[in-house]
Parts: sequence; C-alpha cells; structure tokens
Amino acid sequence: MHRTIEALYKDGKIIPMGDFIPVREARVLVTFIDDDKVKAPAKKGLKFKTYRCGGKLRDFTREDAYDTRI
Amino acid sequence: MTPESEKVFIDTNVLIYSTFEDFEPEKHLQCINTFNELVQSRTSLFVSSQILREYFAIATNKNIFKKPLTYKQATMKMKEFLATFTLVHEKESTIHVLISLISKYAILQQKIHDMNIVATMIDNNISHLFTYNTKDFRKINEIKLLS
Repeated sequence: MHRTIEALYKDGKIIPMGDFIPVREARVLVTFIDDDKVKAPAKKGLKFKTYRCGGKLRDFTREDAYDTRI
Repeated sequence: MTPESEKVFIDTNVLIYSTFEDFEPEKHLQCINTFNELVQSRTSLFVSSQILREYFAIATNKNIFKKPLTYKQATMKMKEFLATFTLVHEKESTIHVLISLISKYAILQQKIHDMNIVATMIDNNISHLFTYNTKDFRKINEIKLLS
C-alpha cells in the first residue's frame, strides 16, 4: 500500500506536518525547498509568507523589543 | 483547541515563529498548524498595535537572526497580519485595567508589557492568548492560555 503525507526534512530529522506516520519505516522522497523563501505548509487555511533566517544567534524575549527604547 | 465562539489573541512570539521556518522549526510548524486549525474552527483571531511593533523590533534584529527581515519584508508581514487578524485597540479604559492588574499581581519593570497585553485582552473581551511565553502568563487568572 502506498500513502503520501507531507513532512519537513530538517537537520537529519523528518517532522510530519500534521499527519502521524503510522509505520516504523518508510521510503522518503525529498523535495528541495528554495533557500530564501519557503512556502507555508500546503494545508487549508492561512497562507503566510515565510522566510529563512539562516540560523539562530540567540533566543528572544519580549524585552528585546524594548531594550533600547529609552 | 478552543470552542468556536472563543476569541484568541496572538502573541508576538507566535508571529515570529510562524515567520521563520528555520529559527525553531518545530514551533514554526506548530504555529502554522494551530493557525489553520483555529481558522477552520472559525475562531476569531486578534492582534494589537503593541504586538505588531514588537514583531517589527524583533524580526529585524540582527543579534537574534543571522538574516533578519529587512524593513520592507517586516512591513509586508505586518500588512499580511493586519489582513488576516482583527486589530484591537487600547482604549481610554485600558490604562485603568492595566493599573489594576499591576496592583493585583505586583509586577515590575519590563513585565508591564506582558500585563498590557492582558489589559488589552480584558478590555476587548478576549478570553484566550496563543503564546509560547507560558511562564509569565500562567499566573494570570483573567485569561486562558493556548500554546
């Protein structure tokens, strides 16, 4: 039986985008996503434009929005 | 998930995670999926100008992202959020709600910004907050968290 679900391949991991993968092993086809602009998951609902930030330098908090305010 | 009739306020961190696919990939996917579930359940989604200002300040910060958004990209995203969510406003009464909350929870310094979100929600009858900052909001009895 063949069944296709959508997932994201990231840093060696496969992350399901909504659907649970109901088997221990599966053959995976990888579609390369454009490096700068990534489409939102192809689900019904909101279609947000997304970006790649190239990596995380540090975590953020709300205070980052105000730290040099005054 | 919230009942259909509930109102949900969207916090800044959710907008950041939903924007950047590779900052926190699992949270990015969670945000997008939760947004889709909320939309499909016809839940009303809200932001305030405070949230959009914070979003801009953080999304364009080169100390947080290797490739932050440009001001053009960030303003385009702000317009996208305005087209998607309902903008709620701080009213004259909101500052009085905020002052009451400050007294009740004895908050100090930068935590006033968290509390201003709560005051804006209360003043606009919004019950739920979608946030990843559960630590700072968990103790607030006036709202429910969605994360």
